[in-house]
Amino acid sequence: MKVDGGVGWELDKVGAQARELEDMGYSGILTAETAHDPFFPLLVAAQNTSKVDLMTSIAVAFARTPMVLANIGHDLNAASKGRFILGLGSQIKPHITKRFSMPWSDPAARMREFILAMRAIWASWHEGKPLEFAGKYYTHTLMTPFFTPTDNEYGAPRVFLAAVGPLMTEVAGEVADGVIIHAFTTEKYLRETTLPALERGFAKAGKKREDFEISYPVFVVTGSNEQELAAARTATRKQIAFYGSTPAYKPVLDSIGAGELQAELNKMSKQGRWDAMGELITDDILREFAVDGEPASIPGQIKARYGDMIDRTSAAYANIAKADRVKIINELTAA
Amino acid sequence: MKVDVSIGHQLERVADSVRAAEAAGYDGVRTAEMNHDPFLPLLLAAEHSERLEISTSIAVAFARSPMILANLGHDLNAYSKGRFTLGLGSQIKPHITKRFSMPWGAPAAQMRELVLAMRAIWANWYEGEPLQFVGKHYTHTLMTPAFTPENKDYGPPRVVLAAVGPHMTEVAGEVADGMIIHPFSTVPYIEQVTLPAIERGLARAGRRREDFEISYSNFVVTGRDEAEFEASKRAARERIAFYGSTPAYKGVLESIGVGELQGELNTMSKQGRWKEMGTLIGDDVLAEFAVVGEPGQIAAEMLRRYGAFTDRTSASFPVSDDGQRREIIAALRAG
Repeated sequence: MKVDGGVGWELDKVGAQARELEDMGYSGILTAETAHDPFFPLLVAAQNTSKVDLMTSIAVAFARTPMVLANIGHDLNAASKGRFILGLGSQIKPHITKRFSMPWSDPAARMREFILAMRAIWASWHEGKPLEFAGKYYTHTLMTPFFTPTDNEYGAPRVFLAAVGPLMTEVAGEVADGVIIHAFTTEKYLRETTLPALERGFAKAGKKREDFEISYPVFVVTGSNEQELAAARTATRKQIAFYGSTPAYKPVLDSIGAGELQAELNKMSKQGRWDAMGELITDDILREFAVDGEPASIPGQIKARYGDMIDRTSAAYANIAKADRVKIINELTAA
Repeated sequence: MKVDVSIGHQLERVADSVRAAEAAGYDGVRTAEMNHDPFLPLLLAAEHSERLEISTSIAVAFARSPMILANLGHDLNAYSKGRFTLGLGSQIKPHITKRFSMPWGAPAAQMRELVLAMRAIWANWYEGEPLQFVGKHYTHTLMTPAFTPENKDYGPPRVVLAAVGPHMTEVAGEVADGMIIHPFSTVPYIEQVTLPAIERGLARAGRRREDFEISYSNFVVTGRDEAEFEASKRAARERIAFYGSTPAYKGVLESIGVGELQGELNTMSKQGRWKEMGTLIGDDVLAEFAVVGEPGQIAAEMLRRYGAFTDRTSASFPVSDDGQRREIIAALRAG
């Protein structure tokens, strides 16, 4: 199992962070898109590392056009000698239309077309195919040698897609090289909803499971002593409660028979009762979402529960000693 | 006059190019957007220089949402400690709609709104103004603390616009911090069309000429020997013929009484007779677009012809002798 770690947005610190993560044995370096461009830190990371994958997790696809992302993807993959993974997510409608001033509709269908459009652009650049992409949402029919990259040694980056619901998950299986599963997922939801949706996508595209990566950032509750463990549990409860208040994620709670919690959490979130929300996440529910225990027990727990399903996970383990973190990473990556 | 130089897009070479540019005495480095992302090289340019200004010249504005540009502009300006200038151009309709799959409206009005939208976003980030931008082309009404950059020491980058026609030029005068005059321009055109349009724009915004930076990069024909000189002359004539074949640029040829050339060049371009087109650019026409002479004469002639209105240039000096190039740069900067 590969293990990824995140770097921040401070461009003058990313180089050192990236070198440290590579030295610690991480397989990949992740950026998220919040208040900063998600690609700049990965260029810095590329300059400072030689082995790790470099991945956006995620960049907001619909905030951009397929052509701009095709170009960035090409450039970062070339600069990193094939180590770039373009991880994309849809965001939600208000952010796309009111923050980014870009169009939103049928997110799964649009995302499918978005990725196919990028692949058509890359086929034009890297294989000389004519660019004749005329879709429902995106049109790319103009390309000249002047606008075609010439450094084609490393070709297109891999494309991963973040998905929660079955439609987006199926699209990931069909057109992406990997799926980024939301941390707010249970083992049951993974087995009963996510994997079957991926299989439908694979079947559509005639793809094999082994040509595809499943990335799942497991919630990990750990600590060097009881006090730290208790603090980690409280923090994780709050995070689970926060996600659980989102209407779109109700099916995840349904998977463990706790669907009725969603409305209650949603109501409390509107009242700003974040601490009280965490208390609704019982030990039983916590166990469905998180592995929990001493650092030494973590790799075994992750492998036992998810080892047959997932190819990579992301882990920070910021509250335990670096040596313990390295042990967890090495044990996970060994198998 | 400040002097900039273009750097290429091969990311592994950017560091060397930038260090060489700083050592050669240039004021800034620029990237153009052709077959690569124009922002990634500038991140490396900022990292590997101390005083160089960095700018896009140009990035395709309408290929992106104002929010994406605001974010890129913020990050590059912060990382370079205030050395970034966001140079934007409209491109032409087929490239926006068929290459980038983005909407094209009335370009000058759309560009004006795009710049104002970015300024509204920046005012929200740096001054805490509510984000309530509702325009004809762009809507930005959603912003939360999670998406607001934290590092505000350097504020927004400068914004300059590339313009040819009087409408876009007037928009530059009104809402931008400077403009990039197209290399395919003559002194009569600049004096009769460009400068009055800038003045109208400045007047509309109640601004002064000294708050506005004009960049003009004329053609230069020179060389250390006869062979270099002839090669540079041929290249300039072919480039001028290429631009002259564009219907939108006919006004520029008319400014020197050769408007009829446009139709002829356009016909030949459709027949692919690029080399032959250059021969239609006689010495008289060439002299209207280019400073022609010995390396030692170039700086004085540029200052004499363009010094009254040009604040910076990225003219390229086709001499293979580094010493001669440094002398030209130093003389321009002193003038």
